Amino acid sequence: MFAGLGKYLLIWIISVFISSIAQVLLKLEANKPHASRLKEYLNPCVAGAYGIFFVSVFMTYYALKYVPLTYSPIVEPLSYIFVPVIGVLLLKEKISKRRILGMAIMIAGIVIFSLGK
Amino acid sequence: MKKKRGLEVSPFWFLALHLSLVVNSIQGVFSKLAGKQETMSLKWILCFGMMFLTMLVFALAWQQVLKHMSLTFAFTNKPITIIWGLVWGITVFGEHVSPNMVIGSIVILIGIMVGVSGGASDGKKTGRENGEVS
Repeated sequence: MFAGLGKYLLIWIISVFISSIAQVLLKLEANKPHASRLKEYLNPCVAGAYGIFFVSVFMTYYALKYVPLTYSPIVEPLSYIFVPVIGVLLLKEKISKRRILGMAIMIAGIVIFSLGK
Repeated sequence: MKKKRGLEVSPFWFLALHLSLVVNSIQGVFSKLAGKQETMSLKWILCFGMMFLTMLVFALAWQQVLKHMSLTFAFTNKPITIIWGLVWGITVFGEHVSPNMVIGSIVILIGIMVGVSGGASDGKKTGRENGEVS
């Protein structure tokens, strides 16, 4: 039974992961200069990012058909780990120890908040 | 470059970031309002239309905001949407709030304040405003 649940839990985690990748794609494009404001939005990178968000919504929807919503305090805060890690690795953003501490406190807050639902 | 303390963005873009996050949180209000309406009724269409409109406004604003700050800074502020969701839940829908939600919100706010005051990263420029244009 756990193996089955684990599969859908993994789908949910992958969904959070790919939407974190999409955020990085948006930032990559935001760092580039564009000829016009319209081209800041109408380009393959931004379109791809929103395509990924779209897929992610359906993956989460599919996973939630089998995984209890009570798992959300564990899965949803993962984006606050994935985004900074991918940001540091791909965008070469530097992150201060104080910001890491702030994010750890936030994740604890999200877990406390969600457990009270 | 000396390590900076405090906000890594100007107050204007910090405000713009938070306004975009308020819009992001309002999206959930319209989604829930739509769920309360009869499917395909005029109110249902109106609520869904507003949901997509707020989604679009957020997407447009988010891309502009990201030009002026690092992704990690923007994401450090994002959990504020959870607290806005709580505010909308109480004020618009009269939802019940548990002690865990209140404690969790306070912890999230502390985390945001600690993270945001973490200053710009160690000598790394973080956005186009700071000259990081490829």
